[in-house]
Amino acid sequence: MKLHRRQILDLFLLAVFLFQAISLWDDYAGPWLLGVAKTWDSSRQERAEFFMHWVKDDHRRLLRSVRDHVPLSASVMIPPTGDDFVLSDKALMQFLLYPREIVRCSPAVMGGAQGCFEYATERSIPMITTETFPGDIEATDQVEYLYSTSTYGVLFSGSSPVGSGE
Amino acid sequence: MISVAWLLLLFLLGAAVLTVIDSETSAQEVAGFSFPLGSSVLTFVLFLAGWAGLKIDLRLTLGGAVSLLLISLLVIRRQRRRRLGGLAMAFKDWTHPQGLLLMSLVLLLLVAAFIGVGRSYSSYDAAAGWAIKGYGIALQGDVQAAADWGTWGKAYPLNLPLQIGLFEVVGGDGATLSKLIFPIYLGSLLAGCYWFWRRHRVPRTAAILTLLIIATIRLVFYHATIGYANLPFATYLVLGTLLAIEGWEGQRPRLLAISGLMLGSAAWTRAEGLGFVALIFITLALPHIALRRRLPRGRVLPTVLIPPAVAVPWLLFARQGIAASHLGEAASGFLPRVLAGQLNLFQLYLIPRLFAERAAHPDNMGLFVPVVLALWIAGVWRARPWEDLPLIQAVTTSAVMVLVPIGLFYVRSFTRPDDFRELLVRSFDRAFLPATFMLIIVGIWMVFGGQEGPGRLAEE
Repeated sequence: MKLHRRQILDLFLLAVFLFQAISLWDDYAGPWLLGVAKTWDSSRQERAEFFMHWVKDDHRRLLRSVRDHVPLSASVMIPPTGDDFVLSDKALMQFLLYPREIVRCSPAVMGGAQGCFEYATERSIPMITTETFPGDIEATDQVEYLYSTSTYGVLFSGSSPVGSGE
Repeated sequence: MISVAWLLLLFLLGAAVLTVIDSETSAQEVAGFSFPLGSSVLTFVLFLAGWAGLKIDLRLTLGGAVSLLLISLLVIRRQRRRRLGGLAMAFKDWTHPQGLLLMSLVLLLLVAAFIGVGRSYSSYDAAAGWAIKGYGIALQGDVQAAADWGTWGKAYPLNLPLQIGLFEVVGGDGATLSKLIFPIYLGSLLAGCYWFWRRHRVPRTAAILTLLIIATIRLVFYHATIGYANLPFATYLVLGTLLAIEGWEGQRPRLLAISGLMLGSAAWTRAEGLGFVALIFITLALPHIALRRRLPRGRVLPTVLIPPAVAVPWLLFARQGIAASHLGEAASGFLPRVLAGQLNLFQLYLIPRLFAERAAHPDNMGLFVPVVLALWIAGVWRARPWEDLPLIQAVTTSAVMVLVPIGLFYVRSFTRPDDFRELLVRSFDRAFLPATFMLIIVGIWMVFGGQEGPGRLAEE
């Protein structure tokens, strides 16, 4: 069978497509389809967290705890810029804890970590803590941990309106 | 279900707007241009309404969409337009292998949709930039919320955030069905390519196979799933350019008005859009002038006027935010350094070199580099693009799409000296998306254009 020039060109295009399709399936589409199928029933934040490679299991546990216990209408204080890549990123935390208002500790404006702590407790705002934030502070008796591990925690004052989240 | 109905409403709105502008609109054009146009027209109108003080809630959103649709339908009724060529006609003489290839393309888009929805907004810019800004606007019902929600403040236009946010307004976006818009943009772009090729008598099999090649380029497929603005932006830019080339001297000058809306939508999607569009227009006009032909001023006016008409309100809305954006900072840092004698020539060399390295690797861009090289070498030899105005315009606009990202990153090299290489690796590929599409579209046109008889095409 003699092939015409157009048929040869079509075969060339078909070969390119097949090569790319196989490569795409192996490197991206296949693994992602499996991953997506595993998390299909989760909320939009949980699915996003699962696939964000920079969000670690410790972060996920903390975020789940905040979502479970802090009402949607409440605010949450996060550590100052640079403290923890995930937890101090206001825009990312707005997405992961939507629709809660995110207040970032600003040591320069609020008077250091102690100032941020007082700002949060006076306003009954749950505060996300890390190994370095807020560090050594003078806490009052009313303050307790809503969630606590060796790396992260959620501090709140006893009178805060913490209840069921989602 | 509500989200799917919402997508359909946006599609219908776009189809109606298209038909109002050009009563000759074909089924292929409706398939390619409706969704991108309907979405951007609605978000722009809602943006103006929101800026004027109206609350962006369910009533305004649905009321706005339905009102625009009804007004368009009324105008269409008065036009007494000829009947839209049916879809059945468009597939009349397709062979089984061609049908199979088309089904493979649909399957690819469905896979992209499944992955896109399933992975939610899990890339940084998608979550912390585009999506949360839209959700914030939806929560507060106020476009000014763009300043407080997500990164970049008001530095980027709100087309994409509003498109995402409206899903939250209409029925909630817990399932992230808003992510469906990205494979739909890819589908629209591919349908637009097909329309363009078929008008230039590219054989159907070659056209569909090339659509499959485009869709399986890793970079392209990836962007149909992650939720960044680059794919919608590239769609507007490329479709607007193809429409402009087609309407410039062709039988249907109204395509230039649709082109104006597409290019205006590009300016309404990314901050660099208006400058990009201005350069595209200049490179469309220059070959015309070089061939000593009189510029069809009346015809090209919509292409010239619509993009700034769209961009200026946003620029006024966001004027302080833009100055503080990456682009604003880079632009303000660029001139003083150049005037002081700093030229960053190594960075200028690094941009294409690093990209060439990445693009040549099949894991990043499939066989894009060898395919484009082969198409352009064969195409230039075969089509002699210096003899035909539309082809010259296609070549010059392709050059702009290649050079603008290089220029943008060169400007950014002055304010990002420490992590410039990382910035390039992270961001340059996606800035190259419009060029990725355009180089393939023009290459295929040069190699395959004119190979199919006009009689067969007339039926599409």
